[in-house]
Amino acid sequence: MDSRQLNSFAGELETTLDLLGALVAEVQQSPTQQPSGRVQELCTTLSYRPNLAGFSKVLLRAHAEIAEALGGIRLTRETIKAHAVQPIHDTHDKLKEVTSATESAAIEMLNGLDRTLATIDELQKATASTSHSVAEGFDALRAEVNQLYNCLQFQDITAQQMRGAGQLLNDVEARIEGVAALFDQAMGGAAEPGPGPNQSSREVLSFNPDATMRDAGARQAQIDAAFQVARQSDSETPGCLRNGMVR
Amino acid sequence: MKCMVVDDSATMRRIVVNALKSIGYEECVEAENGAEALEKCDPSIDLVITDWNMPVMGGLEFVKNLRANPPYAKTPILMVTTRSVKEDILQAVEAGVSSYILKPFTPEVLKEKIDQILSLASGSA
Repeated sequence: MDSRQLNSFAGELETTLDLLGALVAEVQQSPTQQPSGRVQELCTTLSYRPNLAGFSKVLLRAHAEIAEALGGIRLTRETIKAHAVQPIHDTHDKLKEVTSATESAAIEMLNGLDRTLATIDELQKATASTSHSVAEGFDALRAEVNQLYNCLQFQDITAQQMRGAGQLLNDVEARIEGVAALFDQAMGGAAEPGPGPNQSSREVLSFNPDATMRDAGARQAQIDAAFQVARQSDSETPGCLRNGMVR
Repeated sequence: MKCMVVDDSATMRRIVVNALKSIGYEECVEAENGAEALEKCDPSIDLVITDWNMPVMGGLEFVKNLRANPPYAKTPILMVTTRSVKEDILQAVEAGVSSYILKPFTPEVLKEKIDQILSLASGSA
């Protein structure tokens, strides 16, 4: 190949690359796998160039594959949106609803227990002169009611657990939104802004995701022992807790 | 005896107040968070019972703020929380908590801890 042929080939190649650049941009915009008029035009142009005559077939195949890949990306992004982000959001809302419903129910039960205690007090006053066994009966009834009050602590603890699960869902939702945004960026679109981190970090302060009803007695005994040691260390050497001497 | 109960859960405040009444503490001031508690606090309060995890101002910050005020330097403070990690207990002691109870608690444990810290407070007064 002499220098004239080389120059001619380089010119054709440069033109072809420009056309390919324009084509790739066009394929990104095109939702179908059918070659557009511009692709057909490019293939026709190529067929007239002796050095690149076979390139049009490669180009058509590449166009079809790129279009298919982009279609797949679009579908994946829409699938993620439809089957992950929205259901997670809905589940979070349902958890909030459960928390709200159990709180309302617990408050209603507490109101009922308040009325029950008041009734017990009135009945006990009205029957003050009756037998000792009746008075004992009232005391037993009052103890039962107080026990029911105590059982309602479950609402606070399960609410904290549900808020913990809700926060986890928020985090997963934000991550999936982030992945979906990556697809948007890959296809040349603008990424939608995800949920800000401030909301979840504020929520962290108002609940303990590790809250549990389990082994309360045994855990209280451990707490008492640890509290005793910490208190003693702090009184003997103030500031030692901050410096990690008790750990 | 006048108590202050600080918890963001209305259910828990009701339960604690009822438990206190059942053991003879009739007068209770309630607050939803540390900031509200600081506003409502007055030196006539004999005992403070506070949760840890609360919005606006949490229990630990509330205790530190309260202890920084001379009138409350020795007020008995009971932390009632679900947090049970050793580091939490160290932080609570350092902040100035007098005793620590895990949720869910029984009225017996509540009474035992209150008796302990009140006798310590009267002994050191």
